[in-house]
Amino acid sequence: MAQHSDVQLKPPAVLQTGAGALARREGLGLATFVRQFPAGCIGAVILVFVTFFALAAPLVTVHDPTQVKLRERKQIPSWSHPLGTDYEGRDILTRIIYGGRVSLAVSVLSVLLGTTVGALWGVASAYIGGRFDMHSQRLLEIFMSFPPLILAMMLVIGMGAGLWAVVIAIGMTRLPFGVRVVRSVALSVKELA
Amino acid sequence: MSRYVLRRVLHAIPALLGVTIIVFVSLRVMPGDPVSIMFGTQATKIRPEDRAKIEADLGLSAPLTVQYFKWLKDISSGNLGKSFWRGDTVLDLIIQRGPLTVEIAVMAILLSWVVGIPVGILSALRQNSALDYIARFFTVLFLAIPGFWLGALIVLVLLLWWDYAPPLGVIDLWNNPIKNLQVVLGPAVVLGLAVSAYIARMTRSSLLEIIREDYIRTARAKGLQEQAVILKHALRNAALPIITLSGVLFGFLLSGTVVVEQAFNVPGLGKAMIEAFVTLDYAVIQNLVLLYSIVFIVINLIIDVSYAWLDPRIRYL
Repeated sequence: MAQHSDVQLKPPAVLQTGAGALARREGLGLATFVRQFPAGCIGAVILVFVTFFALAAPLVTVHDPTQVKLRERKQIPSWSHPLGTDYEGRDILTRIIYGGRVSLAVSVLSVLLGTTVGALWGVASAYIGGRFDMHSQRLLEIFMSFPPLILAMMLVIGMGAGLWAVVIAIGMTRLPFGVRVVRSVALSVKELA
Repeated sequence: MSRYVLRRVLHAIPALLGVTIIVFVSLRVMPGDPVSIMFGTQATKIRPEDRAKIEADLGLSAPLTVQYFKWLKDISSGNLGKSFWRGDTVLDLIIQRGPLTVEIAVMAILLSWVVGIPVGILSALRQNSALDYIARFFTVLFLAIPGFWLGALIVLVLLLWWDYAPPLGVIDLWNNPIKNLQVVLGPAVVLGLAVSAYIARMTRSSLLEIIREDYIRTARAKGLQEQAVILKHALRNAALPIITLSGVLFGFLLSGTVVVEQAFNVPGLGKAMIEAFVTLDYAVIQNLVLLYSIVFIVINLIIDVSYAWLDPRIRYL
């Protein structure tokens, strides 16, 4: 039988941090969130801006990013070319916007790949422990012996060029960080149980 | 614990063999061959008998399995072979360029601890304060700035404003420490700042989690000084991911940091590796990768042993 006390138990303020808890405490709302996390909001706006232009690239640009126009090479910024043109007459702003598509896709996918696989591997290695830990960590050491740049070059040569080869190559170079760091935390958390 | 270390050393042997097989096979299946690269555009004009002679000189004409076992035999007797391009041996290359890379890596990691850990601690203890925002601004900034750009900027500013250029070439620390430090300082600072940013962010997030634990409240409740609570109780437990990250980063710094070496024109191991890779200098690549694998095996062992010391509940069986 639980005894009800008159005193309202309030969790100490320290326990209620983080965006979610703050939003709950202050009453939900975008305005509150913006006031509480100004820096995060600036970052979010930039990210939305970049993502929008990357996704809408054909809609927001008038030039072709790859068409060579030797007549218009090396132009200074003008209304038709806000950032000028390069040595082959291609519009630089258009090329930045289209380049953003590749950069965004590669960075999101490769970090997702490297971190997900790394975290799963790290947790498994720490949690199962024993022989699995011993062997899987030696496997990772084989992997780490190749400097990231060399590993990425070898993978791209092996798989052929293309977006996915780059994503996998960069993702693989992120793997050691994920595995080792997650394993270290998981080793310590495992002992709490 | 000593039994665990012994087991790790024994398990390192198959790992090293694995490295030798992977690097040997992957180099051989890579498109292009060293002799063609040596002659560049003239490669098609080499007479077959000349090519055969050059390949025999480089030790490339024997069957692959024979080449592989000859390499293993050579390294077990301490002979790392000769570079295809340079006249010197791979051992000379490592002895000449290794110390510079080791110096840069050690200085960068020390700098990252001196800067990154205090910044991370302050940032965590004063979460969401102005100080935290400033710290986070700079850590994100240094994560975002590419090392080669910052490096090029430092070189240019020194040159154009003060008419100063760091000395070139390999300068021994013991013979001429002042000149040597001039070579090493630039890359060490650029890399150290980038690594500090990683360390500061890891310290902050790890510490933020730990200072909400019950035992920290207990430590405070029993009247311990804040300094002792943070440095002795919180930081010790928050240290695991920080040490781990430092270890991985240190290993990669030791295996060479090509773009920064390039920006400062420092002849380190990273540059040697890339040059060897572009020219398919098998002997150099194979032995450097093997060296890095030993480096990582040793670093990871030290870090894993340090876990048990930092958190005595962790025991390896």
